[in-house]
Amino acid sequence: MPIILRLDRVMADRKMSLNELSERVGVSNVNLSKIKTGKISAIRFSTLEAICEVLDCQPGDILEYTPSEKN
Amino acid sequence: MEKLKKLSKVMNVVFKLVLLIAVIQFGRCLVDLWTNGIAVLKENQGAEFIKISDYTLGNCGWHFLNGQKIETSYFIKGIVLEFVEAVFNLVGLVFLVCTSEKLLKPMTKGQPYNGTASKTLRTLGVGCILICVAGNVIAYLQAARSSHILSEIRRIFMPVTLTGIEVNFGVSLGYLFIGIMTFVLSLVFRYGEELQVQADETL
Repeated sequence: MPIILRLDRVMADRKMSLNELSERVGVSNVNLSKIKTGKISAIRFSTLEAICEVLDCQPGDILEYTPSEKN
Repeated sequence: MEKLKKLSKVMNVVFKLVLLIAVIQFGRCLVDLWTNGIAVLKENQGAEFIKISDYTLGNCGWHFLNGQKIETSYFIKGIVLEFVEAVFNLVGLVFLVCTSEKLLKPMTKGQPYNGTASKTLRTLGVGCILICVAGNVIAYLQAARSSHILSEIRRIFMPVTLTGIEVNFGVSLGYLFIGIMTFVLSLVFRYGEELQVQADETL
């Protein structure tokens, strides 16, 4: 998928665990860990806003676009 | 969602009761075919004609008149067709109940769009259509052997009735309508499942 979530990189920079992030954002551990397995196909603006607020970052820090091989 | 869960649990209990009644009715029919069908044949062994009496008219819905004299081969055909109808009734009802239970099972857990609902609904819809067609064929065959063809054809349009402990799985064109609408509903559920997957994959 061309859109990659770099959430784990930002979490490592902020030294925040998945449990803490899920608690502060209000999203379950299971849903946050789905990011690692690539089972996320969409993200609500409200969730993105909450993640950026907690991690003190920009959406561009979490989301990265990688052109697919076909392009 | 809580109401759906409760309703699904209640329906599961109802289905089991209906199944029990259907099995009892099938058993009664078999006993009736034996005592009033096979036994009468044995009594009239070798005879070309059998005289029908009140005693011969049983729970399986014999379609002969009291006092009527009929050919033995015709009587045997009647026994076979009654047995076929009894098996058809039981198999049809078991299929409907089991498929409906399969449909309701995930709903008791609050997951109506779980991926199998649309397939189960499609099976139910196609099954209803086949039951209508097969039932009409059996009813036609029975009408063909009866002297009261008009009354037998009327049975084709009788709805399913549940009276006392007898379940009459009569043939009804309503099954055709239910089958078609259930098939259409399966398409709606398939769309719902796609939306559910999108919702599950949304963070």
